[in-house]
Amino acid sequence: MRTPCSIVPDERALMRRRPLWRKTCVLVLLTAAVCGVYVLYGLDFSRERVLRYSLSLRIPKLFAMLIVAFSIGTGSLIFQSVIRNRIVTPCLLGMDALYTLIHTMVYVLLGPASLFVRNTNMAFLLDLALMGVVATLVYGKMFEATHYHVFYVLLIGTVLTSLFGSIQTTVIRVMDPNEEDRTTLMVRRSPLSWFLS
Amino acid sequence: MVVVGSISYIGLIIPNIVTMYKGDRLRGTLTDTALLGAVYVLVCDMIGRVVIFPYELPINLICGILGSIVFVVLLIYRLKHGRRSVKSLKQQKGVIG
Repeated sequence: MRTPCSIVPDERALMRRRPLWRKTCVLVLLTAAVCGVYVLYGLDFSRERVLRYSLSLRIPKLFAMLIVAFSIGTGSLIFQSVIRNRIVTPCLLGMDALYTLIHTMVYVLLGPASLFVRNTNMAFLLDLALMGVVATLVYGKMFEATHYHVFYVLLIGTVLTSLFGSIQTTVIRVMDPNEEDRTTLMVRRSPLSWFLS
Repeated sequence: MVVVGSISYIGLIIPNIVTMYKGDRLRGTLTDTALLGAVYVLVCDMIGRVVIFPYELPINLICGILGSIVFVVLLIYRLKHGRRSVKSLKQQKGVIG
C-alpha cells in the first residue's frame, strides 16, 4: 500500500540532485544585475557633477525599492504560511487603512503647523511609533478575542479595513466639509503607505 | 449634491440580529428584517445629518462605522456563545403556538 511516507525519499533524492542554493545564487546574481542596470543606465560618465547628481537621485530610490520588496515579500510569505492560503496579502488585515487613519489623526490632532506634520522625517517616526503601538494593541486583542482562530482574524481584519477607512473619511469630512482632497493626497503620498499597500 | 454609493454591512448584520431574537426561520423573520433594516438606515441617515449640522456626512460612512463595529461584536459574541446565541427550535415553536 502506498503511504504518504513513501513519497519523502523521492523528494529528498530530487533535492539532492538539484541543490536549492544554486537557484538562490542565480536569483542573487539577477537581482544584482537588475540593480546595476537601474543605477547605471544612461549615465553621463564624462561629467562628474552630473554623474554625482544622478547617482544621488537613483541610489536612495534603489535602496527604498529593495527594502520595500524584501519587506512585502517576507510579510506576504509569513502571512500566507500562517493562513495556509496563497492568494491573501497582508493588506487584508487592514494595516494600510490603520496607517492612513493614524496619519490623518496626527494631522487633525496636532494641526498643520506642528513639527510632526511639517517635517517629513519626524512625521514618519511618529507614525511608525504610533503604528507599532496601536497595531500591537488592536491585533493582539483581536487574536485574544478570537482564541487565535486565524480565519476569524482574517474576517475581522477585512471588516476593520472598512471601519478604519470610514473613520478616516469621516474625520476628513468633519474637519473640512468642502475640500477633503488635500489631506487624502497627503496621506497617499507619505512613505510608509508604500510598505503596506 | 447627493452622491449615491454602496451601503455596507446591512445585509450582513440585520438578518443576523433578527435571527438572534426570532430564530433561524425565513418565513417569520422576513418582515422583521425589512423593518429593522429600514430603521437602521434611517437612524444612520439622521446621525449623518446631525454630526456636522449645516453639512451632511455620506450615509455609507456612518453605516460603515456602525455596521463594522456591530459586525465584529456579533462575530465575537457568536464565537463565545455558539449555538446558544440563536434562538432554538423549541423556543420558536413556543413563540408561535
